Amino acid sequence: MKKNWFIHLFLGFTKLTGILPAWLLFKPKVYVQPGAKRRLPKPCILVSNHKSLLDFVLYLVVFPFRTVRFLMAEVLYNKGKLFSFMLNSLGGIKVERDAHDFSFVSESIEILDKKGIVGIFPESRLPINNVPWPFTTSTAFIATHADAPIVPVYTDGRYGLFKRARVAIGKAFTLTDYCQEGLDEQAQLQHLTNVLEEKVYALKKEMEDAEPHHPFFRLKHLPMDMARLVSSVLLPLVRVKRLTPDGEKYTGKIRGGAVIAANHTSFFDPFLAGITFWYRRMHFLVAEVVMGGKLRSALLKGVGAIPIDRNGTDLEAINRSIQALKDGYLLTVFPQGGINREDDIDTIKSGAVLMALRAGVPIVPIHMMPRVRWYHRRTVIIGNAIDPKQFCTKKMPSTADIKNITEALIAEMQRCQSANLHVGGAQ
Amino acid sequence: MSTFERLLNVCTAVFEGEIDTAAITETSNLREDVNINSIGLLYMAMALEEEFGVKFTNDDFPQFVTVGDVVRVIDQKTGI
Repeated sequence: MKKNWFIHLFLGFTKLTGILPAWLLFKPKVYVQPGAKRRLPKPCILVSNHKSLLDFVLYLVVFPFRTVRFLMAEVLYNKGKLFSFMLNSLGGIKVERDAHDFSFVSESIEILDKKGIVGIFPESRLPINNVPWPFTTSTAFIATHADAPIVPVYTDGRYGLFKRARVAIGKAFTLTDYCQEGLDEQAQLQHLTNVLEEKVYALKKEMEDAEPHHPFFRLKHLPMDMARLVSSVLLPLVRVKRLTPDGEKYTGKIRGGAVIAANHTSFFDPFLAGITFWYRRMHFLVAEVVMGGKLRSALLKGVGAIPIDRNGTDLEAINRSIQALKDGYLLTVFPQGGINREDDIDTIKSGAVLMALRAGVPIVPIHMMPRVRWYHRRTVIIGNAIDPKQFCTKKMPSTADIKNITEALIAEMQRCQSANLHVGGAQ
Repeated sequence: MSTFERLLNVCTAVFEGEIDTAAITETSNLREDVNINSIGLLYMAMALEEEFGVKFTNDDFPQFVTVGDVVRVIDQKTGI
């Protein structure tokens, strides 16, 4: 058994000195399953798929405040004495995959008994042609004997300077809860291993459904990303205050595609919406008349504007918007149909609802306080998301369903408005 | 089932109880006789795209005056 204090010290030093370059390499985007915790519990077994040798380094970045002792293959230990010493110092547990040496099992159980964390890649080997290996049964064996909870984690293996790794953290569960009666020990282990595999790969699907993959860098996104960068700088200058309708600080994050339905009292509103959600790539619907000349049109399109003809039925713009939503972007819509300085939200157009319904995404109503004095803070009330599917009783929603959703949207927008007036009055 | 009949089925599902599909003929005017507004027309077009597997363009909309016009455009796109 290696000295724990030395491992903590060596890992701590490694993380302290290496976290910045490692973060630049991975830039991990973490998806936490609803109900799961971002921080690993103690004790637990971290079970992950295996994409690259760098997976281990990724988890040092994702879980910087936890000492995870990873099971490591013997080939890594055969790369020289210095490397072997480093692996040992980083808390590695040597596994002789092709020999009948099961000391790693007892060592893992011992760590878990002392409320430590063990990290396992049950596929044991790197995938060939991107085809993963089946999970080995040793993880299930350790989990059942140590009776420690399991935290499933999935990584997509996109590591590189111009890439961004995505990691999904699942809910902790006890593997013995999935035991089936009437199975002998070997069959039981195989069954539990299958459960583990399903849990890890179910995370992949859940993460991709919740947040479709967007490349970290793409030339066509450059103007939009530059606008986001400027927005992030403007955030403290404009002093945007994001609140919930109850007046509390808004701490939520919108994941995946969503329609942002906002009030429209000035030309600055699209920028304010962009600043509010600066951390997301966003499109917004703009009246064709606003697009102006070629230069302005190109600039606006670059930062995510989708021109729409307000007078007619612009099906092509609507379809483009629906596709953007399906691709996981935010879409800001001003359902009042134009600038409304009286801030009247009694009647709105149903286009936002129609697009959300067709794309299968939620609508997030927001209210942006019109600026009265230049020095006032801008408060933005972010209401509860409306899931249009909840209002539909049939596969093909009717116009009556659209009316019901529109009424619910009006009610939530008005709730945000009255909350904002209350906060604004206090300014 | 003809294009017209399939179109009526889509209209029944989309405008549930709001329009009398029994009274619709191919010569019925979409806005005046059937009482479909612009958002309704947009929604109907989307539902028809899904039903017939076609894509409408903005140039198709000015042609949608009567129900027969919609049938004709769909037939053109499906190659019937």
